[in-house]
Amino acid sequence: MKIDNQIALETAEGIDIELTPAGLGVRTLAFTYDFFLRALIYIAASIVLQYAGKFGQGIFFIVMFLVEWFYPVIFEITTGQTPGKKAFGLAVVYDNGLPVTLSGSLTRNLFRAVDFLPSFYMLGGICVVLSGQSKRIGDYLGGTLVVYRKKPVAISYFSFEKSQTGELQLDAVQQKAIIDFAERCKTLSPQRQQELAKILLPMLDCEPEQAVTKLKSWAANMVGKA
Amino acid sequence: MKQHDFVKSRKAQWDLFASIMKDHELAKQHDVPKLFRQLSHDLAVAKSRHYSPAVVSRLNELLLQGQQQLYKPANRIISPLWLFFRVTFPAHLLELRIYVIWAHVLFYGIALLTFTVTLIEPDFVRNVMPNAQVVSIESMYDPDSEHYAKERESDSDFLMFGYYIMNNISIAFQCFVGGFLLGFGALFFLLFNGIFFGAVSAHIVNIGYGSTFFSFVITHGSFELTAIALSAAAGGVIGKHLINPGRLSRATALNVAAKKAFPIIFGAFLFLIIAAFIEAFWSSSRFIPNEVKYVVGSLCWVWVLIYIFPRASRAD
Repeated sequence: MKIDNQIALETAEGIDIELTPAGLGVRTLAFTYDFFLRALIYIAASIVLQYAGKFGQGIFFIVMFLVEWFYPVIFEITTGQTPGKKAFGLAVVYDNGLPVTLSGSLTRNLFRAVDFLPSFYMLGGICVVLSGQSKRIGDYLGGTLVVYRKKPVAISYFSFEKSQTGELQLDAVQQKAIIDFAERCKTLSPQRQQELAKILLPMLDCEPEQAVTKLKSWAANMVGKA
Repeated sequence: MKQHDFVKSRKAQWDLFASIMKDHELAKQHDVPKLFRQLSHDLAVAKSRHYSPAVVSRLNELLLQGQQQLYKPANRIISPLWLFFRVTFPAHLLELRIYVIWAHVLFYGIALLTFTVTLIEPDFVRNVMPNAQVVSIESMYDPDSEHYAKERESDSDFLMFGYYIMNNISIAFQCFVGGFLLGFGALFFLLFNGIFFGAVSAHIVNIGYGSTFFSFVITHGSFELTAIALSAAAGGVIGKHLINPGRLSRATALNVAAKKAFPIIFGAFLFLIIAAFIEAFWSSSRFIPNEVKYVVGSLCWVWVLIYIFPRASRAD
């Protein structure tokens, strides 16, 4: 059963690489960040332009027009991330995982006006929730996706002596789960590690306090640490 | 081979690839596609041998970066716009010609109708809009009013440019988005704007301000009215596909319709920017004699109409 929302892209080299579409919550946060940034631009512009009378008022309208329609486009076609998306580790890409260009970015941003309907991005929000790849209407039309752009994780080595798994027969999935546990331990609190390891107590055959250590040494053995 | 040994033997190359992704100078000294293929191979091996998620996701991340560098589409600004203007927009106008024709017929038909009615029965205009609005429109086009005596300064031109863009784009979007209400919304906004336009112009003629009004609207009207009709046509495409999706599911039909209609909307968007520009800096200018405005305005109309009703290519 598939419990994550990763999508696999097949490359020309014949392998699948995985992308994780960003859901409604984090996208709303990114949008809010951008919203405040735009508000700042407006405030700054109005402070500066109020000294220019009607001319300034006109320029303000034009600034508003440009910011409203092209603020996301400019960032998306240069880095793929508006400042808000960057702050939350998101990026806009095409469905095939490639960086978005002018046409895709213009399309998805012009249709903000539709996604916004009837108010507060309700239509867009509903679309994101219902769609498998978290797309709003603009994303469907532009053929774009908002995905997580993760910092590459360093491959961790765990510092435990290997021990024989004995006569235990673990299949590939089980082995993988144990190795994964050992690798993720760095990000878990000791109490949580303890809690997770205790689930396996019946087959570990040891004191609860040693469960974590024992699992880690199994993992070390399985990855073939010398 | 166990994971540990695999990582140990390959890690140097992965790190090299990671630094190449950050440093474009370094990339020139290496055969990046070859490294990329090698990396793909490593990922395939890692997956088939069930190596741990950390290894797989690290490789996945590197490959994603590599793919984005190697297969990056060219990000050009001018040429896609030019291509859109020369090919994409006319092609979609041709494909959806029937909607464009109907939008024009309905828009100008109802406008002409209310125009005639208002000419015959001048009080009809008060059925279309409240009296206060009638008065404000009258004063706008009053040739004797003082703002016609002097040239509007360019700073207020800028003000109006900004204002027109906001206003026009929201009208066009209303027409288009109305398409999602089974097309009735689009029809409503199209007819509403047609009635309004017809009644106002006839009223202006009735009170004898025709020359200031028509010299003002003729040039930008070519782009603006056409853009409104086009947005409604695009809305009509959406509406038609919702009502009669044919052999597709409604969701798929909507998707297809939106893809068809999008270039029209985008074209209308460009037209509106042009219209706002003309409206603010050309139409309102007092220095340009009315004759020049009529000539240029007519040329704009001819060009716009020829452009939005393109001939079928000879290849057909």
